[in-house]
Amino acid sequence: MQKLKLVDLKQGMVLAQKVKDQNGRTLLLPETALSDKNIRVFKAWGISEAFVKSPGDGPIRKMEEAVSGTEENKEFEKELIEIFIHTDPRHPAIKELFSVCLKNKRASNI
Amino acid sequence: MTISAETLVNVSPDISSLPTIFHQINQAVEDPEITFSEIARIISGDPSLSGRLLRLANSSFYGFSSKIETISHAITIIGMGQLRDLVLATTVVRQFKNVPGSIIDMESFWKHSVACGLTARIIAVYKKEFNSERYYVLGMLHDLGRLLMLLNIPDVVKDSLDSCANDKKLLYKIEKETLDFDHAEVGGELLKKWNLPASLIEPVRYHHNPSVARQFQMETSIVHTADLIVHALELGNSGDSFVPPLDPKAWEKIQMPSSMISHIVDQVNVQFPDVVRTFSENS
Repeated sequence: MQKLKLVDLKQGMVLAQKVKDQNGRTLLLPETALSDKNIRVFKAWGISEAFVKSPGDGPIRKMEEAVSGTEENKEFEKELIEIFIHTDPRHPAIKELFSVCLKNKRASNI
Repeated sequence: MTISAETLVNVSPDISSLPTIFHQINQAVEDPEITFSEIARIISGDPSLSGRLLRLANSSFYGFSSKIETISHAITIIGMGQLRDLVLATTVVRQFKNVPGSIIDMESFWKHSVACGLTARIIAVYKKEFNSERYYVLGMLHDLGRLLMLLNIPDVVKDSLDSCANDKKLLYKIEKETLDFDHAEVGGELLKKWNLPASLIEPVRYHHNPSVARQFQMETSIVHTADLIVHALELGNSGDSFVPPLDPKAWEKIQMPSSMISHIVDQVNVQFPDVVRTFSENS
């Protein structure tokens, strides 16, 4: 399970916890695969983040595989691995930094 | 004469003293009798400095909702102590304006420094550290030693950069192997010469080996981590092509969840272009 910000939520991700609005009203239940409309509704109701299932579970895994499989993403990853060669990839902070940088590289390339 | 970090500082008379304006402001801030408007008058006597400070005060670095049009307004909002730190961060760039950009691109060098300062400040705000502006200064100062090396021993720096690219080694380790000191030690000596406090000297001196810092471990650990994040994001470049290794003890010292990294990067992405603009615009 991971907590994602609204901007990072994507169609197909599966909710791991209920999403409630600021008044505590439930908007969506766990195990719901998000649609674009759901994400728009979250925005309208001021939802800033949601818990979704981590990679390894159903739709989210398929989606990540689809994204990371492109040639361009492989190239970004190769470049990053090169500059990270002096770091310890097992350290949780380095793992997280690597993944954030990869996402950042993709986003700045769009 | 054997080259040491100290001799590099002493052979650079133009650099080894800070501009008068910094000392004037430093003294003024320490003077309990002085008023905001008198400090504002000193700063306004330097149009380029006041222009840069106002642009910074109006950027997303602060995110104030109303426009700050005068230095005295900026002092009331930012605070005198913080303003002194910003003056230091701003004047230091001018101090090194004559460093040739043929070996390391100067614009890229300052971009790396600004990004490191912003990142360190964002981490400091998260940690609720007092006077977060000093973290911005630390980022601006952390690699200054390399500029002194560029001014005095450019061939050594060039060879080290070549070796960094060809052998895929870390630049600060090559410096240490070649000279028996690295840019962090030179930076520490320079700040000592400028009579800056140990709270600035130590984090600059030990930003690559933060566990050695004795008094200011939190500051040193934050600058160490910020430098690493900025290298990974490839924001500017101060010479090294690689992300330096993380000292696990420094990470433990900061006590920050890894998930914070993405929030930090989001904030850096917003503030960085804005703050870089305050440097590139002519006053």
